[in-house]
Amino acid sequence: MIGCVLAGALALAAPLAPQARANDVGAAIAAGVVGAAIGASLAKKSKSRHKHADDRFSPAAGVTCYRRQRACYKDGGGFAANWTHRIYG
Amino acid sequence: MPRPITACALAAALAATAAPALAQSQRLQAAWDAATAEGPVLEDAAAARLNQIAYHSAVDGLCEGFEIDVAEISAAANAVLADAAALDPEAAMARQAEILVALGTAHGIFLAEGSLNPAAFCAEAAAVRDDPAFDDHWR
Repeated sequence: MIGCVLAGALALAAPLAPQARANDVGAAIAAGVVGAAIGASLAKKSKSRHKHADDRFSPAAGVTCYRRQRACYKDGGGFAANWTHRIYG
Repeated sequence: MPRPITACALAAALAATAAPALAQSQRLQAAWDAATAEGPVLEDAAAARLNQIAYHSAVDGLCEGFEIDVAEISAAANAVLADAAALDPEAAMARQAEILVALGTAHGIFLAEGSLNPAAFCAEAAAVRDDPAFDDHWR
């Protein structure tokens, strides 16, 4: 399903960035722009294992939010979409 | 004559009387630490929207009775990708690739979290859908 989402996003992205038409995408791929960007995104991940003690906070009982992820979770549970929206918009 | 209480029986008795352990968080801490180690790709609100897109799609993939609203999700994705619209074509392409990699990463981690705890994951998604204060993106 994410493929459908990505396809829709890419298809609808064209009006927002008219310069990124099919020919431009092909040219960018041929020039290695897209591949280079993906490679950089995947390769730059740090191997450091620093602990971020201040990464989390609790906006309410039973809910913990994580600053770097920009997401909230129920304590002892999973992703809290409603709390994430409430805290981060 | 009563049989001696074995170590196993003692362990079983202790386990049965022990206070129930707190439920384990579904969040895959190490995965999110690794995914966010280099700092933010997007500002807070856009990053949160990316999480919402990835989460909604993961629920669609794992939970019966959930189907994302493609139009709403596409509009949300475009709002995030619009971040790149002001850039020159080459930089825009690179920026969109960076954002889509972040989306795919979040989607994969949510799929993993849901796959490890499918019943709880889907039950919580149902509670989110029933929350009148939250505008979800499922049909």
